[in-house]
Amino acid sequence: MQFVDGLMGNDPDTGLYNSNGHRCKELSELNLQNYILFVGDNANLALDLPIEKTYPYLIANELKSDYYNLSVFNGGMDSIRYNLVSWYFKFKQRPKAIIAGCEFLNSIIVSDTDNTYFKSADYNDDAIQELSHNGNICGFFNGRNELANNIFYHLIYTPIYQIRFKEKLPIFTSEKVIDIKCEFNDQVGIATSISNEIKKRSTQARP
Amino acid sequence: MQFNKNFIGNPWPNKIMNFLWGTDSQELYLKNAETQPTDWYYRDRELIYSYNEYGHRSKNISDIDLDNYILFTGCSHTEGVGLELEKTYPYQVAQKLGCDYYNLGLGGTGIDVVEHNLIQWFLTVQKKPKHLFIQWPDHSRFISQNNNPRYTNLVEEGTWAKPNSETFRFIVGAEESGFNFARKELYKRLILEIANCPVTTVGASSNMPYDSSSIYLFQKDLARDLSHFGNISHRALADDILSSIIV
Repeated sequence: MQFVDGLMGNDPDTGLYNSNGHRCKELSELNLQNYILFVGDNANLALDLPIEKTYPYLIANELKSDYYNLSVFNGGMDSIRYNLVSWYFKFKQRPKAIIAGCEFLNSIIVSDTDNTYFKSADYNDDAIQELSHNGNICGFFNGRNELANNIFYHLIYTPIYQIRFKEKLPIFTSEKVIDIKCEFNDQVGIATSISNEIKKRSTQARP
Repeated sequence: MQFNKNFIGNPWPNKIMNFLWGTDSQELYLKNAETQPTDWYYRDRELIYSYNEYGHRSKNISDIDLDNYILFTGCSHTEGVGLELEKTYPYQVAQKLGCDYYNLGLGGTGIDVVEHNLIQWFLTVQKKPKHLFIQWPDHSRFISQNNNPRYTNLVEEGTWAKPNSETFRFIVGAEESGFNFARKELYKRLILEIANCPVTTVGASSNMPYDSSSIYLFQKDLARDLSHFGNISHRALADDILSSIIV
């Protein structure tokens, strides 16, 4: 993971990301007057597919909008909160919509004493599994998600569309959020469901 | 702790009290008084804790001179547990600088609450403070929430957890895995990213160090609860802060 322009991004070495470590066009090329913001993790990245086949690309194309994908691989709530808060303080131009998709909300980021690196914890490690288990039992993750959602509630007035995957925790818990049930990895199905919902609601909003 | 509107605060908003739960309880005070000399500073002195609408030991935001204020946040050291208001370092620094102040300090809380309340501050209050003082608490502390959806209060967790409990094992694991090192740096980076005002970091010598540029609160005496640092300690910290920010 890396920090560029006050945003947390993925490691740039893979060639899959822009210079900020995000899977989309460069920040400087984004049309801030007409864009959708994607937040989340692996679900929004679909790293095994070419970008043109991923639902962020398909949705933006369908809605004739630009988009930016803030998602960080296995970044969990810490990266989501960091990037959303930073984005909203950095850019006064608000997105048309936020689209959230998350696979592992309770992921953990680790570092060393001098913060020479940031990376997602290795869940093959028994100690990390135990940490995760204890964090669940003692209410750490509930607390982390509750605090983050209290901030989101007061920070974001943009419509939020949340892709809900079976047995996956949601990022946003507010009743204001529009939840849409989807099948994991069904890029076209997700793109169609979300695009249709956004179109339907924008039509309803017209006088 | 609880949400008092958008801020996290003590669960006794708008209350005036002489004692608190925890180290500065009346019961402990009476016990401590038996061990102290007859001229003990706190023997016959009333200590007033006055909390605002958010459960912070501060004036309400609407009563603050937002054109001329400084902002403090931290744990019990900054809240001033065991101290008269006038003896706390935030009060003394603001007095000397001739400005108003707001104190977000909350006893028992950790870096997650510091970050949360600062983000809410910058979302709620459009006018920036002239200076922000962050006393980062022990980084192993966190807010937990019980799995029972009817239980809405936020619980402060820390190294006082029962040994061998899941909470205690989580704290140890978070330390050993490097999770806490990541958390504290993420919180710090985000606040520095959005604060857009001068920031001074304050450390308490009883906690793990936060960064090398911190100004430290050292124990030179004890507060009424014989646990937190006392009047002389806070005076020294206020002096150190003032000498560091006044050219």
